[in-house]
Formats: sequence, C-alpha cells, structure tokens
Amino acid sequence: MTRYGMVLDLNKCVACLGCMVSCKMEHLLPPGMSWCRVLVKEQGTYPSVGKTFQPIVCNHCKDAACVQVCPTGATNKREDGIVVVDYDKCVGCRYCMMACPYGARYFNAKRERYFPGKGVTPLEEASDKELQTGVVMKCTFCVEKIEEGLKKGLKPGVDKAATPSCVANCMTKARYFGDLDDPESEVSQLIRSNRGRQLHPEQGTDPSVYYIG
Amino acid sequence: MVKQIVNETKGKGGKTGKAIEKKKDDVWIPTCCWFCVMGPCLHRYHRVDGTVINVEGNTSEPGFDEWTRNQGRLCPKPFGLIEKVYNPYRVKSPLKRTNPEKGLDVDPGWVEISWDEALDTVAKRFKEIRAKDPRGVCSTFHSVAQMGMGGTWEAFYIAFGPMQDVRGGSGMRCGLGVHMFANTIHGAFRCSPDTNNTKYLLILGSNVVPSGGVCGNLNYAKAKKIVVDPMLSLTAAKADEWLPIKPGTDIALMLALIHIIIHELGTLDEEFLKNLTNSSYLVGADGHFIRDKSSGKPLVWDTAAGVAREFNAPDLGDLALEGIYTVDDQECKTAFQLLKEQMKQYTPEWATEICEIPAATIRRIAKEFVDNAQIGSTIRLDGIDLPYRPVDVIIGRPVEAGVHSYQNILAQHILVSLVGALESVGGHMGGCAHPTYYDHGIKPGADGMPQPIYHEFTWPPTCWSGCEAFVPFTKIFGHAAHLFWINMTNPPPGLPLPPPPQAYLRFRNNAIHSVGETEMVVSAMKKIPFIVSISYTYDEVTQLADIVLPDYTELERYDVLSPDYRLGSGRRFRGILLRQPIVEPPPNNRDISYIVTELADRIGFLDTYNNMINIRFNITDPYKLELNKKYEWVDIVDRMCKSLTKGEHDLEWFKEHGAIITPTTTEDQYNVHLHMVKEKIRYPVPYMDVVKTVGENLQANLAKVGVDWWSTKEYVALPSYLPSVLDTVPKEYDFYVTTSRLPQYSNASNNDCALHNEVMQQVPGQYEVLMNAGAARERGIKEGDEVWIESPIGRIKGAVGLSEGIRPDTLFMAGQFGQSVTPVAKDLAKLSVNAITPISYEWTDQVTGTMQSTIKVKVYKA
Ligand code: SF4
Ligand code: SF4
Ligand code: SF4
Repeated sequence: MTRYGMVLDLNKCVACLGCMVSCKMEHLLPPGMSWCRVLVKEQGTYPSVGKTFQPIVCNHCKDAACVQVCPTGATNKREDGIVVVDYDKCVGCRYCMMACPYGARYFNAKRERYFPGKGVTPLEEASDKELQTGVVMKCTFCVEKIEEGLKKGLKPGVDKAATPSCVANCMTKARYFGDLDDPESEVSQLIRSNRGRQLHPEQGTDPSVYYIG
Repeated sequence: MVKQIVNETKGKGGKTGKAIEKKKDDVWIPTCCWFCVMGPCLHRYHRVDGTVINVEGNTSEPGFDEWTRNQGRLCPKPFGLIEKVYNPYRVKSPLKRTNPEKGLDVDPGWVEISWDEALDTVAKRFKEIRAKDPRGVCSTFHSVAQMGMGGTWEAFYIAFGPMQDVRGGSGMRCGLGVHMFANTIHGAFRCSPDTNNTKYLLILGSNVVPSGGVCGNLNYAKAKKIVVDPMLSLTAAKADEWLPIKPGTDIALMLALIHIIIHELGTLDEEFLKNLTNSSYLVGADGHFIRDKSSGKPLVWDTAAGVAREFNAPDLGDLALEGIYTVDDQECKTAFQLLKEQMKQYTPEWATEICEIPAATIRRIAKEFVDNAQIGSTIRLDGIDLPYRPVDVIIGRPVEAGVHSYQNILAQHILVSLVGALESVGGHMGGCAHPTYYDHGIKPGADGMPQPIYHEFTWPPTCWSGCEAFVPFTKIFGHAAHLFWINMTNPPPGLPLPPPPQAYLRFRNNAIHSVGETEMVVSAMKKIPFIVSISYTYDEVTQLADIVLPDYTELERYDVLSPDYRLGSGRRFRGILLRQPIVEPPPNNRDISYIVTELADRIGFLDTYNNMINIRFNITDPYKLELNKKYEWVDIVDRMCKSLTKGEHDLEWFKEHGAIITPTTTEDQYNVHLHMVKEKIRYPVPYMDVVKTVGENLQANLAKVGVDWWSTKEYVALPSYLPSVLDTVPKEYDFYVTTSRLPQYSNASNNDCALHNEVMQQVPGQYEVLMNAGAARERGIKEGDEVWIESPIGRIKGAVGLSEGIRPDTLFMAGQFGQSVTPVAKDLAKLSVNAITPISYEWTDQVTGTMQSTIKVKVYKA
C-alpha cells in the first residue's frame, strides 16, 4: 500500500513563507485562506530568547477525525492516504472543522476579493472556476499534481512534477514528500534516522506529517 | 514556440471522479529572475488560457537543478511578479498632469494622452536641455536596470551624455560602502562568503539567511553561524548563537577580535600575510610606504639578505612580517607591525564596555574563528591545490553603510586576511579577477596591488551630489545619492554647484522612500521643473511627475543576460539566460526599450544609442545594429541570442529552452586567488596606504578651495575606534532604531502585492514598530498601542509589536514600507524609519560616502 506523507525539517526552515505563497498560487486561494502556514513563535525572555518556525499543513491523518464526522462522505480518505473533500458533496455543515484538532480546514463562505471595488482580476476569475463557495477546503497534498505525475510514470517526492508545490519550491529544501509505507523512501528514512515526530500524537489521529530537527 | 508541457488542467480541491475540462492554452514557459544579487535564478511560469497562474523553479533542461543558483527552487519574490501583472492599479496609458501644484497629497489631475504626445513632449524638453548640457537631466533607476535587465535603458542613459547620476541603489537601502571595497580589494561589485564551502560565519547586522536568495538559503544552513545583531532577526533565529550587540558598536567587537588573534592567540596565516598582502611592506614615519629611491617601488624587509628590497625583487628571501628596521637612516616598521601596535589597545575588556558583549564571549569567538579557519590546510579540487579557509565575516547594511563604515569594512577584511581567508575555498570572495559587465577586475597597479579606482578632485564639482569633490572612492558604482538631495535643498555655503537640473527621469525606483528625510527629498524633487516617471503604478515619485510613461512588467518583456560575474559566492555556472513574455501586456503600455528608443530617435542620438547597445550587449558582426536605424527590442534580443552563441541559437531557440547553462570550473571559482598568485599581486590590506594618500590629497585640495567643513580624518590606513555619531544625539532620544530588508520584499518592490502582503503578515514584527517587551512594560506601552516615534527631524505614528528578541534600548522597523501614495502598499499603513532619518554631511561616512542608517528616537504614546 501507499501512504503519502510529508516531513518538515525545522532546522532548515527560515520562515521565508515561500511555501505559503506557493500553495496559495498553486490552488488560487482567495484572501484570508492559507492551506499551508508557518507559525513563528518566540520563546524565552531577553536575552535568552529563541524563535521557532513551524510549517503546518493538513496532516492527512490515518485516523482522520474529519472523515469520521463528515455526514455526506464529502471528506474522504483515498487509498493512498490523502484526505480530500469532494466539493460537490460538501454541504458546508463544518462539522469537520470542529473535529480537526489541527485547525487545518477553511470554509470558503463567499467570494472574497483582493481589491475590493476594483473588480475581479484574471487570477480571481481562474480561482472562481476551481473553488466553490459554501464548502470546506484544505491542503490536498496537491493531489492533482501527484495523479498527473503518476500517469506519466513519475514518482511523487522524487520527480518535481509529481510533488506538492510547497515541497518542490521550498528554497531551503526543508520539506520532503513520499510514501510512508515504503521503508526505503526518503521520508521513511528521515523519520527513522531523525526520530520524526507527529504533531499532537495524543489526539490519536496518527498524522502523516512528521517533523524533524 | 513554447513547449507544451502539460496538456490538461488540474481539478482543484481533490474532486473525485470529475471530468477535467480541457484548456486551449496550457503551457509552462521558461524565463529567469534577477531580482536580487544572489540571482539569476531559472524559473518557469504556468499560463492557462492567457492568464499566468503559477511559477516554479525550472528544472526542465539538464543541469538546471544542479548548477544554477536556485537549483530548481524558488524564493517568494517571483510570485509577486504574477500579482503585478494583474494589479488593477496599474497605469495603463501615458499621462500628463493638469494641476501645476505638486505634492504627495495633491491630485495631479491626470489626463490620458497619446504615446506620440507623451514622447514628443519629453523629447522636446530633453533635446533642449541636452543641447546645453546633458547634466541638466538627472536620473534614478532600479537596480535591475543596472544588471542588464532593463532592456536598452542603460544604453540610453549612457548615450544621452552624462546625466546627473542619482542612482537608486546608492541611497540608504544599499551597501555602497562594500561595493567600493569589493572593487578595491577583490575587483568585484561585492564580496560575500564562498557559500558552497564555508563552515563558520560571523554575521554582523545582516539578515542574510532569508534574504540571501535561494542560493544563500541552500548553503548557509550548512555553516555554523554566530549572529551579532541588536535584534533576533530571522538570521539570528537560525544561528548557533545570537549576540545582541549595542547598535553602532560593531567596530569595537571587530577590533577586539583582531586584538585577540594577533596579541593573544598569535595564530596567523603568515605565509598568506607575507606573500599575498601588504603586511610586509615597510612604512615610514610619515605613515606611507617606504619606496626605493630610483624605482619608486615600495620596499619589504628580506630577512635572508638582511636588507630592504623592492616588493617584487627576484629571489626574495623570507619576508619580515613584524619588526622595526632602518632604511636609508630612516626608521620604519612593517605594515603588520603597525597593525599590531595599533590593535594593542583594543582588548576585549575595552570592547565589552562599548559593545556590551562579554569579553569571554569575544575571546571564545576569536578562538572559534581561528580554529575553523584551519590555517595551513589546502584542498585539492579538480587536481588544483587551493588554500582551504572555510570562515568568513558578513556585515550587513547598518555596519557597511553609515558614518565610520570604512573602518568597519576595513576591519572586516583584516579579520579574514589574518587567517588567510581572502578568496580561499570557503572564505571571503569577490570572484572577479577580470573585468565583467560591471566588475572592474584586478589590474595590477604600480605598487604590486590592484589598481584602485577613485575620482580625481574636481572643482567645482560637475554633479549635484558633489562626489568628485568630497568622496572620491564613490567613483565605483554611483554616488552618495543622498548628498544630491541635500545639495538641492540646503547646500553647504559656498559650494559652487553646476546649474540646477532641469528635468528628472525616473525608471522604476523610489527615491522618495529609499533615501531618508522624506519631506526634504520631496521638496527637492518638487524643485525640478520637469519630471518624467516610467512606472507601472501610481507611486510617490509618479505623483510628482509631469509625464507618466507606463511600462511592461517583468512577465511581459524580454531580456537576455549572460552573467559572467562574481563566480565563487555560490554561483557555479556560466550561461545565457532569456527572460521572455509570459502574457500579453496591457494594450497601451510600452516596453522600456521601446520608450527609450523612441526618445533617442526623437531627441536625435539614435546613432550613439545604437552604438552603445552594441557595446553594452556585446553584439558583434554580423549581428551589430546599424547606427541610424530604429530597431524593435525583440529584434535586438534575437541579435543578442545569435551574437552570444556565435550564430548557433536564435531567439526562437531560447524561447523554447530558456537558457544555456554550463558549470564553471575550479579555475573559474577561485580565479582571483589563482590570478593573484600567478601575477604576484597582493591584496591592499591590512595597510590602506592608498586611502591615506587619497585623503591627504583631498585635504590639500579642499584647503586650496577654502572648504573647511568637510573632514578627511577618516582616510586612515589602519582601522581605529571612533565613537558612534549617535553618541552626539541628545539623551532624550533614548532608543536606537535598526532596520533590515525583508526577504519577501527586498529589491522586488513587492509591497504593492496584496496576496504577498497577506502572507507576509504571518511573521510577527515585520510590520510593526518592534519593541522589547520589558522596555514597553516600563513605559506602560502594550502590544498594538499607537505610538509616536520622534527623531530630531520629525515624528511618525504607528502600532507597536512586542518581542523579547530585541535589545531593550532598540526598536526595529523594516525598510520597505511607509508608502503614502502607492496603491495597496499605502493600505498597509506601515512605517518606514527613512521618513525620520536625518541626512546630512555630518552623518555621511567621509570615505565610503554612505549615509547613516541607524538612528536614535524617542517613543511616546499617541
Ligand atoms: S518555503 Fe521552506 S524555508 Fe520557506 S517558510 Fe516554507 S518550509 Fe520554511
Ligand atoms: S501539499 Fe499542496 S495543498 Fe498542501 S500545503 Fe503544500 S502546496 Fe498546499
Ligand atoms: S529574487 Fe529570488 S528568484 Fe529572483 S534572483 Fe533572487 S533568489 Fe532568485
């Protein structure tokens, strides 16, 4: 079986936020919505103080709370472990948003514009074609990119054209993608050799996103 | 023809089992970016049905992911270029003002005019001015135009005749100081670590990690980093150690490090110092090199022969590094001896009182620096043995620009020289032995060191910045631009200036925000009777313009570049790269090259302009432009492609493939070191005799013309501690302000990109006035409170952000905001310290001509 997952190296991330912009452009996300985020936190008091940068995305949990509560089956888990939302089935009840322990989901209530009063930009027109309103959305692991890549015989996480945008573009190579079920994949090896950690394991959702560093 | 890479579009949101709508136009188009000095990077943009919707690092050709700067990766800036294309506030027609009253808050009363009317109006005015003196036009432009990425702009600018040069890059937001020394020492535009190989970096006041482009990011991660900065910058956050130094005292730290290395550790790269620097040159009582009476060549002490000999005498024995000698009955010392004596006083205990870094820490850092330098080690790369010294000192703008910046830059270079890390593997690189597009290269001068470049004293000065008369070393790369604006408003008494500029031609930069003392710059600009703004948006300079000429964005136009400069520093390729249009431009906008070609033609210097295009772009026969014919830019681009590839590839080929890239060799990477050894040239450190000499001549010349208000006392051969100019500010101004470039904004003017701004708000403290939480508590200031920030020249109001990661006596304000007119950017309503940064002669470094960037303010609740 395949279980896609991501590894984020906290040592390497410099909070350039390239992944956030990258994700927003890849999916033409409207104002106020970022499927990918980087949390910048300060710890300590002057002068013993540090800053950490933690990229977060949907964890594509193995035991996903969102999937369990979705009444219509719109949120579902694919065989390859990717949790997706079928917008056509989503009724916008937002139970999934309450259930997700990671705050990874967003409700696209209505069309928001970047330049209020200045019309709709061609980018927003393109976005309108892709993103429905009244539904819940979130990080998809760029599933379309993966599928297209697979069709061409490419390997997600190895070949750029089959790899999520935020991973492929990250300028410090802090992000990795691949098959967690394959012990030889780069992600599996990184998790093993760096004692990869999941976010809030106590929630029991078994995330497919691991942190190292 | 663009390669069809993807034929069908992607469904979004993980829709399952839905038929995917086929798109007519769905292509990835290769192009390149050079929005920062760490570029160029290779990118490709995704266009669907005529709309550009995405960008990624381009790895579509062999080698692109391996040798290029960005290795298939992306920094956040190129996304902004997509946003700019669709910015609804773009200027979409030539404009002329109808309201003669000018001001940032005064409606210019724009009316749309035809291109013919706009170009004829400009050409007529410029022709009249040029006939009298081309200096009647002054000009500023964005640094991309300087990097050969502004079409034929530069050819126009040069061929017009010498305009008043008020170049954008030389204002506050540029490290002009380092450009001067990069050239004097390395022959290059700037110097930085050998990013691929460095292991230990001492970083002073630079946010280089996120700002260093993709290449910097990929490589700096591997090095141990000690960051010395009043604020816990993103770079400091990623460092192994953060040392919150008192602002403006970096020189004390560097001098103490030199002291420890020479006087306490005594671990020096003696071979390097003797053979590749001027350490062994003998210096007389007058502070200048002792010279051979007949040949005039500087002398060194040959310990084997026991006599002084010419520095390049054949069969020189071992040279004396230290010592006091007698030559022709005159007592003299080696340059190194003088350095040693001068550094004696700068103990770590002395430094700690000034810079507030504990003496023990300074000692430890000095030891780590020396240990990591691995003095004496070599590395064999491709069969060539090279010195391996993987350490460097990086200085940021607050250190390399501002009063005493010359002392800082010199101390920095002496530090790396002591361990032999100049142009070594892993060391401090300029990388340009030979002249390139804008590096001067290293030409051996008479004294066995690179030929220095500086202005001959010119009186009266021919330009309004007066640089030829006051700051001779600014001949390298532009001017002390802020002096231009001072002289326009409040010139020093008795300064004979040329007739005032009659027109101002501006291409894309923003002098109103990139200098200082915003109100003064605005009032100076308003004095110029005719302002032409080539701009894509309605920004502050445009607001003061008489004629506006709207140009194309970077995704609508061509450029060809063949970066053959600054090898080392992480760039491991040569190549020819194409920037090409991804989308159609708005119908009534024009490319910069069209605009200046039309102006050159209408003004009447098409021949010199075409000639300059041939020269600047290196277009050779049979592709050369005929001198009296008007060419379209796309035709010139095609000629460049053919000329650069000796006829092998034309524009169509480049449009498909994007670039030709070849990896550099080890000889390329370490060309300066190999060149110095082969030609027996020495780096002009530690003893800057040339600076001392230029300073003495300057002093004599200024005395002759009766100028007593411009001091030359900082033209010294060895660095010394001079108290910060900020110590002279009254005590009530009790906060320092430091600033920094933000990686997402620097060089790219992305602050008018709405999506970009939305994302960047994620990093706390980038937008606010950042204040130490404890210091705020003491003053009853809470997170988000509105405060006044007041400097001796004015005050600005903004919201406070609190942080533990900043010294209690320091505020931080990012450098790229504060716009009051530029659409979108102005809605950020963020502050820029430039507005209240005083600019004056006193606050200008005497040697580098850079303006003071760290200032002092007081803060109180609004
Ligand atoms: S792109 Fe990479 S380095 Fe930049 S913020 Fe995202 S994870 Fe961090
Ligand atoms: S995997 Fe794709 S959808 Fe998820 S955060 Fe990254 S770019 Fe966005
Ligand atoms: S701005 Fe970014 S993409 Fe452009 S050259 Fe610099 S690092 Fe490369």
